[in-house]
Amino acid sequence: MVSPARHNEGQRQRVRAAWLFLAPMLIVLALVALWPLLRTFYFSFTNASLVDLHGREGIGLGNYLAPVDGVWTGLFADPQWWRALWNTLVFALASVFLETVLGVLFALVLNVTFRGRSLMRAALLVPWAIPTVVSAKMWSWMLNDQFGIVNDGLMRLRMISEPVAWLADPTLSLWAIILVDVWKTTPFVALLVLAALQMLPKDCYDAAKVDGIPAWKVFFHVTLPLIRPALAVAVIFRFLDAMRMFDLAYVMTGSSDATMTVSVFARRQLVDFQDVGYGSAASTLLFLVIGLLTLLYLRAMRPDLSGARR
Amino acid sequence: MAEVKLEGVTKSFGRTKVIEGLDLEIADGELVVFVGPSGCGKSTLLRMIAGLEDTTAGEIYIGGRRVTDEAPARRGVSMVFQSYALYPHMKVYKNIAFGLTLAKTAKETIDERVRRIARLLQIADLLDRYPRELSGGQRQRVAIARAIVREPKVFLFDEPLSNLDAALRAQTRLEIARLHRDLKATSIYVTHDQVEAMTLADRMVVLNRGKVEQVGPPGELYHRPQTLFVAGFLGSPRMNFLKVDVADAVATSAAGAVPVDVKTFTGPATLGIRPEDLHLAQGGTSPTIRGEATLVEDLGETRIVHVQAADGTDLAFHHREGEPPRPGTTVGLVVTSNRLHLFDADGLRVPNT
Amino acid sequence: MIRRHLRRSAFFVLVAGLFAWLVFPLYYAFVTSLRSGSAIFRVSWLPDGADFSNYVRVFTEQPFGRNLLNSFLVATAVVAISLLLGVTAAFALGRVKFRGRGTLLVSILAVSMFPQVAVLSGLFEVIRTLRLYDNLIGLVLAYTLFTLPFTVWVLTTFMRDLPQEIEEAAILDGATPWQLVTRVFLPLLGPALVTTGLLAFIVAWNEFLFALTFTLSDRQRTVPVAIALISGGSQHELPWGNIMAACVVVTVPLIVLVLIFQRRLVAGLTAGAVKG
Ligand SMILES: Nc1ncnc2c1ncn2[C@@H]1O[C@H](COP(=O)(O)OP(=O)(O)OP(=O)(O)O)[C@@H](O)[C@H]1O
Ligand SMILES: [Mg+2]
Repeated sequence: MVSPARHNEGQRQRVRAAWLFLAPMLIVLALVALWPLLRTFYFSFTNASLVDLHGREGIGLGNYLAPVDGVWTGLFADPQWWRALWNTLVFALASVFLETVLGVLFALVLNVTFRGRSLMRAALLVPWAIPTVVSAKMWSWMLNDQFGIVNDGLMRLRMISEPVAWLADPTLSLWAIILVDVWKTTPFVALLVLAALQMLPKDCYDAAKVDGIPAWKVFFHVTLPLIRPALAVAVIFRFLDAMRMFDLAYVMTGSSDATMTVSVFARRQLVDFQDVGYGSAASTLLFLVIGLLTLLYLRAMRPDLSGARR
Repeated sequence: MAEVKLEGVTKSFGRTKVIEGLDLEIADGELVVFVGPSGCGKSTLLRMIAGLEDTTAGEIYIGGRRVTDEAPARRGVSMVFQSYALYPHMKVYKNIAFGLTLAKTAKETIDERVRRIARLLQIADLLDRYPRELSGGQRQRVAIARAIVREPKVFLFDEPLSNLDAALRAQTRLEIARLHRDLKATSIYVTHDQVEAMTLADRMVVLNRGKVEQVGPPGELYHRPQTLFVAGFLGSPRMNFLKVDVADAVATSAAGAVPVDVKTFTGPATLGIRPEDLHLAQGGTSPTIRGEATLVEDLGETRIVHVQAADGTDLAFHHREGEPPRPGTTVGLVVTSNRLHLFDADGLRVPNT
Repeated sequence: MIRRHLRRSAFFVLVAGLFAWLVFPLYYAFVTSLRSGSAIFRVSWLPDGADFSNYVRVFTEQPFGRNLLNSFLVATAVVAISLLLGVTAAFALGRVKFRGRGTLLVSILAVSMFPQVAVLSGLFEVIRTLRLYDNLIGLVLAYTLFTLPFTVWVLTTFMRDLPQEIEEAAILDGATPWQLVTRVFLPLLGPALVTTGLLAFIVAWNEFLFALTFTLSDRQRTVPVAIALISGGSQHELPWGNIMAACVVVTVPLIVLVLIFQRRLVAGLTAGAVKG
């Protein structure tokens, strides 16, 4: 017979202290995360407005989908919402894909010993450290249709014959934003992958070299499977971050339909149109979409979030 | 008075039982050494006495007081760790003084005690250094000083010397013996090193799979092991074991027949002979065990001869004088008959009469 | 021989290309910031002249100095609070066994991952109730939403790696949990604190959505908002020279910090796998 857990006074004191130590953090997080989140859910079922949060009435699913005078209204009937969701998904998938490919490339290059490697490593941190708003402004200037250096360069190379309106052309603007995001966040992926690469056992590479296996085969059959856990972690972090993107779209293209993400859409409803109910409904849906996709991803990949690199 | 008493002490990690219903009494001022194979629960037991590990069942008493539920710091024990566990960010002085500082001892008292103990351990001129600036032996002495300074009732040592090289280990071992003689504090000492165990211990406790195999003074454990396990665990080279059949006070195997001093015992048994109790049959003595020499190890002061007995068992014995047998030759061996060990089929010692 | 030479050259072209891709935007912002008037509207690949009037105008046409100070104050306060609450929490999560620990860790990680806009309306209400709208303290509170979870997460991983026996020695020396944290672990965690603090600083310095939503007046704005809202006399002509100068001003200190603490930052980033 094993008696139920017996703790001596020291252990009990530790557990008590642990909860005491956690309390301030938990209180702050409850105040800035849990409670606001619950309030947002709640607001999404009301017609609250920013000027008068108290004068709200419950309107059930009115912000999501409800017939008004025989016409369906609410988010599910709002083409702008669907456009925003579509933009967000395209943005997230494209930028994460490109960042992963480029990030692995950067990591592979940095894993080679060459003169100037430390300079390169330092350069890798530059885009990462630059505030997003600043990157947005820098790239807006470079992509400027009349005076931008990108158009100038491309015209000199004769790749385009006349200036392109990167940010104004609705077919291009989302891709311009993806480009900036890739520029800014590839370093993050590269650093994680590099950390994983540097932990790989050297002997399997020596063995492969002795056997004369071509480099690309070694990469796909040895390296890639070995860094897969690190990659899985990097991808999920990046994806979750991309799904909530706000700054780039807001700063570079304002609230143009072509680039509006869900975050931009929701904030616009909340702040510009003062429609807290509708905006909260959009936020809630984004939260649910992200939650759902995360669960699916975790199911499929089972990344080790707790310590893939230890 | 600081005797330590363990009553039915049990420890499980999840479903695996590491210590099972262990009873043990340690007298005041005694130095007891725990030995046993790796993973048998020595450290766990020590940590339970210290209070760093909870007990699943059973009671622990220190100085007659039940401490099972008490916090580690209130048990009056201090511990010396294998890895020294010095605070890397504090100088030696602060390392030693830390416990007293936390207990809000007066500054002068702290200073007086730290300096006295530093002199005792010959680290007085290291007080102003960081642990990283010390050698392994110096670090361990600081760790011991830190343990002593709080004047605990019980000292616990978990393999304190195993990170030191052989010479330093021997020297520090002597110092610990001297300290124990001077301080006369109850001490429990865990080690893998048999020399350490034999030389330091007032009594030794041999643990196996979380249970006590035998407790007693080192000489008694060595000369009268109560179980096959203890017999095999203590001594190097290991005790020789022969599978024998005992009848009419003679233990017989394919390797030969050895007269044993038991009147009543009959049946299958294991005969244990220490390497120093086995000799080459010389001159007129007729050999009792036969075999073929396989290997001779020359250790300088002695040689160890390995023999494959006629029944296939490997035997080893010390050979000090004269020419050792050449590998491949047949040898005849005799035993010192009053130092034989006989164990029954359950591995328990057959009481000699 | 020639093949090897060719491969080496190709590799260096690749490296040079990647390097240019990383640093060119910053370089170009710098080049632009040193040109003014109509010169700005002629593309120039190389720096020509050193006209600092953009830098002067950034600070005179709006309270940009004040904005910088705001950003600095907010970020510093956020770092202090996150580290203070983070270290004790990390001790509890990293070194004490108690029921619900795993769940707690995962929930904390989840908080750092969910979209800020999902708490926007609720947080707006909280901030208004506390009368912290258009107030830097409100921003500090809001930013703990991002910095606290990852501070706790990263510090917990560092805390776990500290040797067990040192803690046990301190316990036997009579240290209470609070003394363990403050007198034993805190000094040992020094480097980790620098790393996490710096990451938290960068996050707070760069944040935009909350700063945009929870402040109103020019003088309460932080730098990212100020830069985003720089506008010229007319609607369609942005003062690009000023904007680029402002960009350089906020970026350079950050880059210097990052380069100084390069190694530690990378260790922190990969330890917690968090994005700054
Ligand atoms: N925290 C733990 N969780 C689960 N099992 C443990 C734990 N600590 C120890 N054990 C197990 O308990 C058993 C005894 O461990 P212990 O450290 O006491 O052995 P030991 O006798 O000190 O060994 P060594 O001589 O190698 O130091 C081992 O089998 C070990 O695997
Ligand atoms: Mg041990």
